[in-house]
Amino acid sequence: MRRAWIAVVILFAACRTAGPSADVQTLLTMPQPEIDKLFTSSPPGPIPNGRAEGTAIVEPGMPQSPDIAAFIHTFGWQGKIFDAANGTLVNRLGVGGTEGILAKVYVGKSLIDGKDCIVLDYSKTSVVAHHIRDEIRQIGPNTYLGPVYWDNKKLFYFALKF
Amino acid sequence: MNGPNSAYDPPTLLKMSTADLDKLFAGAPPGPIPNGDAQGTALVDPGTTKSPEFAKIINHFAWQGKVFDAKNGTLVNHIGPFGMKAILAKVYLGDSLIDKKPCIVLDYSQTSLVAHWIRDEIRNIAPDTYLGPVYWDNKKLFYFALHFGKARTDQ
Repeated sequence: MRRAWIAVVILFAACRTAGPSADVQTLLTMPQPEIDKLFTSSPPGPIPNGRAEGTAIVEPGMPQSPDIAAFIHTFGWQGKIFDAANGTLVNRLGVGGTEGILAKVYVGKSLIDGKDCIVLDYSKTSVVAHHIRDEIRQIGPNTYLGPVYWDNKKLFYFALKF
Repeated sequence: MNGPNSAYDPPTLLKMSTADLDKLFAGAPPGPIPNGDAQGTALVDPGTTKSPEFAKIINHFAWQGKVFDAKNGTLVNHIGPFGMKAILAKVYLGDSLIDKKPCIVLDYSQTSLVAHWIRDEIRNIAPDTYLGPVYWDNKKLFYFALHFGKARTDQ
């Protein structure tokens, strides 16, 4: 029991200090139009596989955006785990990083520019998330960027680092 | 929906800019330490067309509100997709980090392993309605609102 508690403490300390990687950190400092441009000029890239660290890019370019990202990472959403062979993913959610909320993953057209992207589609797979649609494109090695939509309205961008 | 039982119901607050919210918070008294169940609204990117959707997504997946126990000076949060009650805070009168004037402090530093970097402050902006900032490491992140009793719009 005691060992489990120590593990929990170490885990949270790690979450706290690790933070997003340097390139994702840069995204948090970019103004919104530059992030739009980066997304529209990037290729979809291959459908990724495995575990990705997630960073929510809310109010980018503002002084509070790294702290909002840290807050969301701790309490809301830590990342995604892709299964490329089956074209699915699950999210890591909540304080403990519970795996939940399944999406279908396929190449489709972006709602932003009508060009190819990787669509993360929750409409058929999740009761709680069927309002949500994510799109991603590859912006660097093992790094994807894209928007989150609620009822087809773009909310904010997020980054995935594999 | 109950209609606007509070002058500052969630849709009204979501339309206000951060500067308006700063002013509203700075001009409000702390009010009494509240008791019972409150509907929570996160005011992220307030005054923009996105703020109502941000509030919805946060309500859905992360945080629905707080339950206060005024007698014991504590609260718990409704969190996660299923509104689990967790993350305890101490509740007391203290000075705001913004203007050093009294507010109600929701202090997680002694009570929560995961949230001890978080501090909330609230002030009473209308009957059964509180507004205040969330801090991470003493840096202000965004405002949130709490609506109690008849001021709720979610029941």
